[in-house]
Amino acid sequence: MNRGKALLTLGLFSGTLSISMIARAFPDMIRHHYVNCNACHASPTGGGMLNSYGQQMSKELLSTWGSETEHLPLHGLGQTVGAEPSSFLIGGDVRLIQTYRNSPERISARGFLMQAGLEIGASVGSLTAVINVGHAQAANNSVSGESSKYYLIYGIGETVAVMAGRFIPQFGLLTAYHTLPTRSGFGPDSEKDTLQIVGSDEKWGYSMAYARSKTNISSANRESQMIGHVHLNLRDSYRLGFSAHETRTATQSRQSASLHAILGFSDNWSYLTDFVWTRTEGVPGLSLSEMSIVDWEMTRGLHLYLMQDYQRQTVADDSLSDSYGLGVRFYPRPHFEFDSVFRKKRTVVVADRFDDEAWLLAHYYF
Amino acid sequence: MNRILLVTLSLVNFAAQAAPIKLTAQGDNPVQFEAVGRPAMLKIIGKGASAVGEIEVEAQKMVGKFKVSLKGFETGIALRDQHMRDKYLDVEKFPEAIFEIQKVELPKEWVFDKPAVQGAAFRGLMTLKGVQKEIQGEISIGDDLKSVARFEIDLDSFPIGVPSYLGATVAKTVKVTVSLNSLRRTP
Repeated sequence: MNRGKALLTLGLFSGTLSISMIARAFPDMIRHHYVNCNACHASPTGGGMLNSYGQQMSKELLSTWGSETEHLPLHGLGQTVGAEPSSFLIGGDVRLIQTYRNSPERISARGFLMQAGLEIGASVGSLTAVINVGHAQAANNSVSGESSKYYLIYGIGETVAVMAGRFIPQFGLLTAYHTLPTRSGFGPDSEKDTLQIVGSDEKWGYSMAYARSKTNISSANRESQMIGHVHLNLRDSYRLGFSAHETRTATQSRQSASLHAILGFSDNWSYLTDFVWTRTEGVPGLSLSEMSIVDWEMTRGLHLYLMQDYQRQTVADDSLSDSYGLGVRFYPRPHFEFDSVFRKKRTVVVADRFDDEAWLLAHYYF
Repeated sequence: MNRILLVTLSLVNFAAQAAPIKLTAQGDNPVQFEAVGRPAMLKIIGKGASAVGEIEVEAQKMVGKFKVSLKGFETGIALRDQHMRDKYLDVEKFPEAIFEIQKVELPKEWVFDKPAVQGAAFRGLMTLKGVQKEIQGEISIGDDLKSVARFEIDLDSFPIGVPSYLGATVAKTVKVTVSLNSLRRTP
């Protein structure tokens, strides 16, 4: 195997090693006519900290069971539900994952702490500030006090917001599954120093962002990005979106375009898909990444889903990787999520065969 | 004698032809409302209620009156339903909304035997929470008499208040669709 293939193999392997979820994002909530993310999230582009309404919906829409105040921080201990949103928000996530992989060469299993972070937010008038503290170190199951994400949001009227800080800018379809190939470059630890303007109304949404890598990254790998995004909501339950970015490092540039859709067929059926094409300077052809998830909420809080992804990084046949699998996700009560997937995965550069993979994730959010 | 009988029969026949046609709607006549929650523009769709009533047609004049049980509306979130019924609509005290069609702008060539018409403007009244207000909308009628009436109500016109919860506030204009699927001619 030449050096290039070895690096590609290592990259693909390390990518799949951390099969996990990180962003608490629920684009499929469009099936309940939630066309914009800021209904439930502090960030207008979704993911992460829930606002007061989102906390309430974690009980009303997401979870199978829940008492009157259980969705509140500290499980509602000593609190009552008010009708006004709280101007002070506290939240966070702890995720533990157990992975399993079975190939002819070896069987491996690993459990580790994937995420442990605290988020604090405060709103004054049109201004909201959010900071996330805590970064899980999967290698030794420890947590550092580093802050990987923080931002200020200034709302201009009801439909426009300006965000500034360190966060992942909007590109493509933000799902909970950050290791899907369509999230390449926009997964965990991809937070950048970003200035983003976001607009949304009943039908249209857009964002434009300029982002730069954190300064603790080597100067050769530091990126600057221009990103644009637009989506159209149709019949309150369907969304078609297009995103594009131009990314430059000191030595290379690349351009990506994403065409994605969120289809809420009914209150309990949804379909998510994202196609991302990337052209990289000096690399022949276009790479293509694709993902699809079909989700059926059997009863409130209990989901059965099929997921599939595909990636061809270069024009070479052995750059192909793909997978398909079946998952079960369960939100028994507010603050708790369990997600289990079994899938077949092929990485041709390693071997042209499908190996077994599975994971079980336990997520506590507050 | 024969002449008198002929005249009498003609008058009876004329009277029968001129008598208003009555249509009743019992059963599957879903009523749906669509509201917008600001600032996130979330759609709140209320379903599950049904209209019961009748329409009277006389030449090109059409009037009707329907009652809708407000207890039947569901929006997909139990807590939201509870707030809607108890806090805003007060369905225990005002269990029904009344929707009246007072005048439909039917085309001049319209006849009951060929009832199909698209988007005819109508004026009417809506009674909600004990308050009656004028409404305007459009009605479409199919050849099989299945009809759909669409209109908007302004929440400010009724003593409902501004539904609001945890930062999500319902916009004052609510779209209402009444689908009259079971209109039948009364013998």
